[in-house]
Amino acid sequence: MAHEDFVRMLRREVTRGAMRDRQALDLLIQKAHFDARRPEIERRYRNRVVGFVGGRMKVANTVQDVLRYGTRAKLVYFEAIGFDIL
Amino acid sequence: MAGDNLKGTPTDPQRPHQRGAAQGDAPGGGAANESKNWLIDTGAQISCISQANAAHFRTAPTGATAGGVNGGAMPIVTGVTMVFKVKTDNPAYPGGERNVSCRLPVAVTPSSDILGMDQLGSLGVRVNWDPQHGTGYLYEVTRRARG
Repeated sequence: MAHEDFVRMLRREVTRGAMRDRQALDLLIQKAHFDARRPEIERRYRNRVVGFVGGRMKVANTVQDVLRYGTRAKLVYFEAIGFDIL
Repeated sequence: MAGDNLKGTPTDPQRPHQRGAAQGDAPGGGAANESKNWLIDTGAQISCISQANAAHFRTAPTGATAGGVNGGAMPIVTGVTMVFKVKTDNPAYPGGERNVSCRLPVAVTPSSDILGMDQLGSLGVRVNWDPQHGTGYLYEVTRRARG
């Protein structure tokens, strides 16, 4: 269900002009990288924040730390492993 | 120092809130300044603004997560500065209180305006809160006062 929610959110952001098509596509690609390694990530990085940017995995202690790896051209897809960020 | 700058609301008396502001560039140009009632959430690792409030600012996406509360998805954007008050022992502020601001990326949520621990932590701001009486304050301790 989370993936469908994510796609719906991206569509909404593009529709309201908050995100470009290529940025939404980039985030979907980064999520695909994450999903492909999800079992390993959930096993190895409990209580950390794991992101993908430009196809590379980034691991940090906080959301803000993992977001620092992103740029205007390359967005970060991330998840907190084993905890909620809110 | 000044008095309390946090309080509960009539509908949410046990959680700390503060009247502050969100600032940034308006989508059509010029500056935007929106008054906000921030919920200070010690369980939030990232600060949040609601979708309706985000629409007042020219924001830029920096990332996203599909792992939000209840599995919800959230975009993370830049372009919003959160402004809030802190008590201070800094002698440069004889009133004992000053406005501070922080411009870290924020999450856009369906309906929440949250001042999270990322922004408070980045400024060295601490939280004092009494949930029984619904009073408290954000405060900073200067290096001189820390000894």
